[in-house]
Amino acid sequence: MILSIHGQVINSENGTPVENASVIIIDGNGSFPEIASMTDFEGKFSLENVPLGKYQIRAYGLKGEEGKKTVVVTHKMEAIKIFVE
Amino acid sequence: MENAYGLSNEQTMDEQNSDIPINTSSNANVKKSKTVLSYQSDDSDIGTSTSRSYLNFKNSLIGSGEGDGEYSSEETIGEAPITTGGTESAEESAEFSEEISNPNQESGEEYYEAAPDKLTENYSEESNEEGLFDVIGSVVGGLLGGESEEIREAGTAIEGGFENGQEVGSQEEIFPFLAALVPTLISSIGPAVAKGVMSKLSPRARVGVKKIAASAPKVVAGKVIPRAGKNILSVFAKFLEAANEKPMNESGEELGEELTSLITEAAAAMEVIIGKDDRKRITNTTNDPWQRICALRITFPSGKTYRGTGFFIGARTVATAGHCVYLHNQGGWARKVEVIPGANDSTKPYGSSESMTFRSVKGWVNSKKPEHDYGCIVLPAGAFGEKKLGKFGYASPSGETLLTKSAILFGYPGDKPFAQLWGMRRKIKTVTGKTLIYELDTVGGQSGAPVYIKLNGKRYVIGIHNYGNSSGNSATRITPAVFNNLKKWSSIS
Repeated sequence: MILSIHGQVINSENGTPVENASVIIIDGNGSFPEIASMTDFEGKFSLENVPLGKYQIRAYGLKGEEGKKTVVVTHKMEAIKIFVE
Repeated sequence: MENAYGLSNEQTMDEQNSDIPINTSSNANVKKSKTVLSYQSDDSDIGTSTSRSYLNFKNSLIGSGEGDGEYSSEETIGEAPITTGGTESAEESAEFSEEISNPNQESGEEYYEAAPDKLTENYSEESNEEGLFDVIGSVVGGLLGGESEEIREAGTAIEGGFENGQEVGSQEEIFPFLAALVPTLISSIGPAVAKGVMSKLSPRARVGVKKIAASAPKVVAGKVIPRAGKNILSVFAKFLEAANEKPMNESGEELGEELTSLITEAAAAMEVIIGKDDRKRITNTTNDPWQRICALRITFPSGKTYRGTGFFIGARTVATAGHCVYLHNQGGWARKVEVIPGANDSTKPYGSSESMTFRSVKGWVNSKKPEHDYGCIVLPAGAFGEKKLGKFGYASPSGETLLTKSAILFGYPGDKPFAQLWGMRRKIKTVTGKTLIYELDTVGGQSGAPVYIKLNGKRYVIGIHNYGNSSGNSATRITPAVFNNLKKWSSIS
C-alpha cells in the first residue's frame, strides 16, 4: 500500500508557518522517493508514494531552522506538524 | 577541465541478462542467469506520437570475453550525440514499453536504431572526481567467535571520509574502546540496553547499524583475513541489532547508573563511526562534469513544489526520476520544472530554464512501479543558448562489471540549502535486473541524480537515483530498455 505524508512546518517560537522549508524522509522501513517537498506559504508539504511503515521526517528552513518528526504511515494518515527552531 | 569541450567516447558492455542477482562481496556467489533479453517493459516509453514495441540493436561485441554486447552512448561536452550499438533485438511488450509524455509534448520524434561504434581503449582519469575515488569499496569479512559462526560485515559502511583526496577518519581511535566494550555487551546486552543505545543514535547511525548487521556478505572461517576494528564493530552491530529486536521483559529492565553511562558512551562511539556523513560538496560546479548536473525546482498542478536533481543526456534533454516529472497524487505531470545546471547556492552560472515538456514510461505513470521510476525533461529549443554544458553518456554494462566499479552519485540534497551539489563515491552493493542498490549517502532532493562509473576513463551513467531505504538506497538501472528510451529522448534536438 502506497500512501502519502502531509502536514505543516511551523516555527516553534512564534507558531507561524514556515514557507520554503525542505521536508524530506531521512529514514524508514520502506523504500521512499528521494524527492524533497517544499512548503508553501501556509507551511504545508506533501511526501508522496510512501509505503506503510515508520519514518523519520526532517524539515529544514531557509534560515537554518530544523525540526524532525517520527511518523507511522497508516491507512488513516492525518496531517502532521513539524516544529522547527 | 582538461577535457572540456572535447568528445569523449565510452565503452560499455551490455548484458543479455534480464535478471542478474549479484552480490558485491568479494566472496559472494555470483548468480548470473544468461537469458536472452526479454524485458517486460514497464519501460516502454510513453511517447509523443508513436509507441513502439521493439527495440532493435545491431550486434556489436566488444570483447568482454563473454559475448556480451553493449549499449552505450557517449559522454560529450557540447557535441552531437554519438552512440554505440548493442546486441540482439530486445523485444518489449507494448503494454509497458511505451513512452508517455505530458500534454505539452512536442511531436515528430522518432526512435532510431543504434549503430555500433568502435570504442576507444584509452584510459585517462579525469581530475574532478579524483578526490572521491579513493574510497575503499571492498567488503571485508572475518570471523569472531566459533568457527562455525558466520559473521556478516560490510566494510563500506564504516569507511572514513576523504578530504582533498586524503583519507581522514576517526574510527581507528574508537576501535580500542569498542574492543573493550564488546565482551561486556555480548554477555550482558539485553533489549533495554540495545534500545537505549539505538534511541540515542541519529537516524543515519541507526541505518548504519542495520546495514552493518544485516547487509554484509557471508564469510567462511579462515578464508578472509579479518580487520580487527571492523570485525569488532560488526559484532557490536550484530548484537545490538539482534537485542534491539527482542521484546522487553514484562517488568522492564532497570538500568543502573553504570549501564546508562555505558549506553551513552556506546551510542556516542557508534555515532562517530557510523553516523559519519561521507558526502562531499562540489563548489566548482562549472567544471566538467558538474555543470551537467542540474538542480530542479518542480511545481505540480496541485501547487506543491519539490526539489530534485537531473542531468543532461542531450542538448535539450535532462534525465531525472519519474516522480520528478509525474506525481500521481499531485495532479500527474508537473506543471513546470525549473532546471538550473551547475547550481551553486544561489548562483546560477548558466542561468536557468523552465520546461513544461516531459517524458516518462508507462511502468511509472500507469503502474507506479519504482523500478520504472524515470523520465526526462525536454528543455525549450535554444535553452542555455550556446553554452556548452555537455551531456552524460549512459550505458548498460554487465552486472559483474557494475560490481567491480565504484559508482559516483552527486545531486542536490534537501538537507542542504538550495542549491548545493553534494555526493560521494562507493561501490554498488547489489545489482538486480532493473535496480542498483548501494550505500551511497543520499537524502531527499537527490532523486534523479546520475549514478555513474568510469570505464576506460569515460563516464557512463548506469542508474538514475530515485529511492532511499535503510537497507540500501537505489536507482533504476540502465537496462537496454531504459537505455533505448534515454537514447530516444536524448536525440531530441
